Amino acid sequence: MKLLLVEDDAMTRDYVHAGLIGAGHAVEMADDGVDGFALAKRDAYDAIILDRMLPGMDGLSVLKSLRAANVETPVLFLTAVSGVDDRVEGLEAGADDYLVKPFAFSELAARLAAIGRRPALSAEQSRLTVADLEMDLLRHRVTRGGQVIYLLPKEYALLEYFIRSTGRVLSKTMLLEHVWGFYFDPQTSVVETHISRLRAKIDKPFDVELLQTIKNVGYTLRAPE
Amino acid sequence: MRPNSFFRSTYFRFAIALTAAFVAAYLIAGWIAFQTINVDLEQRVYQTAALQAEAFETVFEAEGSQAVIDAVVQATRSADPEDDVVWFGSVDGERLAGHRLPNPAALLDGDVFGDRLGVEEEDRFRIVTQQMGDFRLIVGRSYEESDAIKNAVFAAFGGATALTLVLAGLVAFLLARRAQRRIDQISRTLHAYSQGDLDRRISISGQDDDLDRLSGRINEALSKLQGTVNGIRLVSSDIAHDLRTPINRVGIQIEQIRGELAEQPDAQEKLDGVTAEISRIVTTFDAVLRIAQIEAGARKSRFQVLPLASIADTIHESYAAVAEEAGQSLEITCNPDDSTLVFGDRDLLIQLAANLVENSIRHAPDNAIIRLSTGVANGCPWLDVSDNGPGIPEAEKALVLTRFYRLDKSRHGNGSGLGLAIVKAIADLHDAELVLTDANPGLSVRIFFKDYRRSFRDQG
Repeated sequence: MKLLLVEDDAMTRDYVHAGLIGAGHAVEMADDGVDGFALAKRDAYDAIILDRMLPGMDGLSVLKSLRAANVETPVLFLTAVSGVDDRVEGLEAGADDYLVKPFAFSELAARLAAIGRRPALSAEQSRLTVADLEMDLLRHRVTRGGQVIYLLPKEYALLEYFIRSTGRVLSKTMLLEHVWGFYFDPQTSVVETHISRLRAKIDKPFDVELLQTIKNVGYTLRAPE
Repeated sequence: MRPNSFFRSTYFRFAIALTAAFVAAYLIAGWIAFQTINVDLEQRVYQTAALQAEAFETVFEAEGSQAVIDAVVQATRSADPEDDVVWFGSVDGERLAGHRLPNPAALLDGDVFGDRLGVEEEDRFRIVTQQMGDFRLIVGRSYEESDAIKNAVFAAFGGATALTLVLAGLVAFLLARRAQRRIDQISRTLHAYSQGDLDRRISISGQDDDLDRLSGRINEALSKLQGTVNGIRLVSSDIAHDLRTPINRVGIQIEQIRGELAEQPDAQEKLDGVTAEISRIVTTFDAVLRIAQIEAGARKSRFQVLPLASIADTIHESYAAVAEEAGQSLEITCNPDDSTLVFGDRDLLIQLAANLVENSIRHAPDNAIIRLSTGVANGCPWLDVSDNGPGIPEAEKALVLTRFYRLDKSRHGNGSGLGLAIVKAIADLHDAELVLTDANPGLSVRIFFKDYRRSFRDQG
């Protein structure tokens, strides 16, 4: 992907830059809001990583100005501003995701992959498949190898998120936000418990494991190579 | 303004007391005046009768009894027996002239009713008798005229009293209502302020009276408080930024060191420990910051109407499996007929319910039953999380809601000690009441919300 990184803290900028280059992305950088806005407006990027507190022009203004200028590039806020309203404020201004510092690079990479441009699923598509696993959204039915699998509501929502993001790594926080609507750190193993239950239903009785754990990063649903 | 709150107000009571005192004073003054008039009128009736008797006596002394008889005949002819009665006769009661009386010998000086004089019974008369040698004169004078005057005075006075009562009452009511409206406005402003609308101020009427001066002082205090709160908000967001940035750098450097020491498992293990500690610092820091922001009312603008039952459903779906893994069971009881609509923030209410359920899962033993329920009591929707675990000793119930308090410090050292403090802050933000009770055995935490319509109204 071709990415724009707008960040004033040199250490964070270098770290993210090195990580993204290492992951095979093309990255351009800006260290203040004014330059960031100019670059974002001039070039077409697949995604923008934007700090909120920036010299010159703050991140929220950059985003609002971009959206006002019809620049619809996906934006991920990477920020130390973490108030209860700040995330909602960022999303309302048109951001696609919001990641609070301190962050793990793997989390950033997972979220970037999720918002980056990719062929969208058509809205009418009601059957989603990964290998022999099939999800019929209209009939709310899951089968694997033709065998019907009964899922509880949260297991179904979890699988739907995975199957819509096939091949991508989803972090624990992404699952909490997307499937549960939790914007806090639970003190119990909500995600792990549901992953293990889902796995017991869709993977265990079959030969090939589709739902995989990526250590220190998250989980992914993918067909074997 | 609700009518019954007006009738319970200080101003209304003041108005009632003032009107009552005014009317009472008027009645007492009136009574004294009336008594004075009464005495005077009765005196006049007596004097009229006495003067007439005296006139006859003068005639008797000058010209003898026959002259009196002539005078009495004359007087009787011109008198209306309903008003004046004259009788002249022997001491034994034998009539020589004047009106015919049923029993003249028994008539003595003083007041009698009409029947004794052979006229209408209800009329009162003043009798004056006069002994003249062997003769006796009886003069009676009716009170009718003085009674008519008294009645007229009484009616006039009664009317005036009623008018006074109505006017004084009306004026008192209007004044009280005006003052009460200003008090209500002060009260509404303070409520809205306490609910997080820090820009609200009491409007000043410009009359420069006591309420204006009080309002001015309150506004000063509100402005100062707003400055302080804004300061805290600014400081906490600055601290958040200033602290997150270095923590973030530490994290980055640890990742870099991790890369450099890739071949040393011991070092990797230590770095894992460091990472875990940093993440705990961030968790606690986030929780404290979150409480501060929730307490400052940051989230109110995003409130919406939503059913508590749907929050309970979501939490049950999310935690039934977690409780099962812990060897416990999570049950849900929501009566679908109950309207559990509240005015609130969905994300925060989910966190509230999640914290309570997680608390039970972490503190209740194996085989514990955790109950999640919603309902309505006296029009207030409530959400309840109960377990049959060890519960909380009575003395510690208030303490567990404070920050960093842990019940069992040795066993559950991994919690932040902020879970219930966040619950309390979220409940307070929703103007909801949090009640901890014994579930015998175990703990029941119940949160009573306001009916969503009332929350709407209170928001102004």
